[in-house]
Amino acid sequence: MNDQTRAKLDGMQRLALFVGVAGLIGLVIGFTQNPHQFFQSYLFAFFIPLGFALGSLGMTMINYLTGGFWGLGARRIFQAGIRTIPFMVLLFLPLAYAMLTHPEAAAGGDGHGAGSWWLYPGTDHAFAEANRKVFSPEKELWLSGPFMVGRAAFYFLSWIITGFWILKNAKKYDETGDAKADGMTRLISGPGFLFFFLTMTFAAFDWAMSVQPLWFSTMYGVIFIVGQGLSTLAFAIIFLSRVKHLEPFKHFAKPNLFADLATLMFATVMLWAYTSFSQFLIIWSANLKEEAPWYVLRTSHGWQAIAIGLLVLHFALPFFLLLMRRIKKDASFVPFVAALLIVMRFVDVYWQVAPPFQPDGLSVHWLDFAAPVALTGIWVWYFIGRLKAHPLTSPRQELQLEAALGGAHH
Amino acid sequence: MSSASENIQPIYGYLAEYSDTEPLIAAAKAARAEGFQMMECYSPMPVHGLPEVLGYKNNVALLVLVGGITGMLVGFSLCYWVSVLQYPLNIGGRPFNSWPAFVVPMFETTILFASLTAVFGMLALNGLPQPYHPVFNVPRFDEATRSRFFLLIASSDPKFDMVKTREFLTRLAPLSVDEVPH
Repeated sequence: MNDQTRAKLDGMQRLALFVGVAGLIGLVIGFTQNPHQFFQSYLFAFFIPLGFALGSLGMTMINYLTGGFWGLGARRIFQAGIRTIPFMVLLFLPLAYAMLTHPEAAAGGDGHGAGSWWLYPGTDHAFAEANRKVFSPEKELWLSGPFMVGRAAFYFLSWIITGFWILKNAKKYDETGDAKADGMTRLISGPGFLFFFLTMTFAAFDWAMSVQPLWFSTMYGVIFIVGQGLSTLAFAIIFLSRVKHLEPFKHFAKPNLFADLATLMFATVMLWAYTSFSQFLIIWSANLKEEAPWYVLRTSHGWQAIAIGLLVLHFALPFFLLLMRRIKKDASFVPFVAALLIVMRFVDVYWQVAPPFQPDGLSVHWLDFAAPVALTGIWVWYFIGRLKAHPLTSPRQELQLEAALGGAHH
Repeated sequence: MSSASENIQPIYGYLAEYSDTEPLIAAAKAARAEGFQMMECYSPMPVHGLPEVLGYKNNVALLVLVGGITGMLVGFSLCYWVSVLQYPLNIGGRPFNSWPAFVVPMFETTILFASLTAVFGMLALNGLPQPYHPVFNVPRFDEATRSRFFLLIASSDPKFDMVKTREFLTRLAPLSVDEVPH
């Protein structure tokens, strides 16, 4: 890394820290004023940095399985993303607190009905009793606070082990050219991806779906996982566009790399639309009283505006923009599409988890802006730190890139 | 050769042969700079950057987009015609025009029309199938599927000249220059 690159990364890191700390101050003020709102805002905002971190893990594994220049060009970004997973444990602590404790006052007045809880009704025995017909003791045990936190520990542990095991072998291969280490990265990635898909599905059930514990959808986890891949690709595009003129990025952050990453982003946009619509179509077709209210809530009381917004800005507009190869290659335009998609990832998760907290219809709180800013800022700060702590390139990676670029960059 | 009539050229064109992609691109660039328009290149594999040198514009993408949108509208019209106009059924009290249920058929017709447009649009634009092409009259041209790269300048080019074009191609250092009979 030369001085110019270091100065640029330092500058970006300082900016991220400044923004993140400003947001965190907002969060602390919000917590003292309205802890309920704090947890509700924190919950939805948490998922996007989590998506950057876990999406990096998923994309790394996919790239080891499929190969492709896109993963080689973005490899260091994904690797630094994997290194932020332990940091996500720290950011998860407020949610663990919300799982394990209960608000002091009975929250009946907040429209919660019987019982009291911060985010997850299933953690409250009174709620379980009141809904016993559809809320079995087994389900109550599954959704109890300590078990939820225990599972979260297991998920994080499995992601950290998978991620750092891959990183260890990738590093070994980079430094020694050991073919066995290279083989190991692929050997871990196959089962690792399967296991990641299962654990993240359960994590989405635990942390997001259970804000409405009487509703269930098996498609739910997939929507989150696809969203994580989408967020990560969008983040990689934005990050590369900021450093594309610097060593060593300038040797490979060329129109072809942006086109490849944007094509994958396009694919994840379609996959997100496909999974989201499939879930809707299945529930709309069945029209059962156990399932349909979830969508009724999200398409009325002001939430319909967000639903339409998602359809247009999370799917239609980026879909048509990313159809055009000219835009996908354009490192000065495609980051705006990526930024739009990251914003829409926040909106999508907000639309998924926030409605039950707002019984009187959509009412956006200022903490709903502070929380995403705080968590994204602080995550980017930590991410750049991880990126700087390891070599941005290696002779072997340069050779691989050279071979992948082939005659394309003469 | 000197008996060439004024309107019809005696040959189809000249074919220059190269052993690699880079001299082929260089030759195509030089011919383009010289002002030739009726050119074609033949190679065993796709050559990166060559379409741009030849000034080739691919209109298939636009056709596919139009085909896809047409397919989507056809799909919706079909569903609407069946479910609302021709055979309205009350299914669980839903409106006849239940668009969520139409999305899957619409998606399918979009893909169907787009892919058929891609295939037939490609065929229409590139002129395939073409049972006869003069370039196969050159015996060496067999190598175009294996190890040789060819640049053709057709006699239909306004700048084409039996003597000068041959001289020009010879200057571009090919392995050989062949006349392509009609």
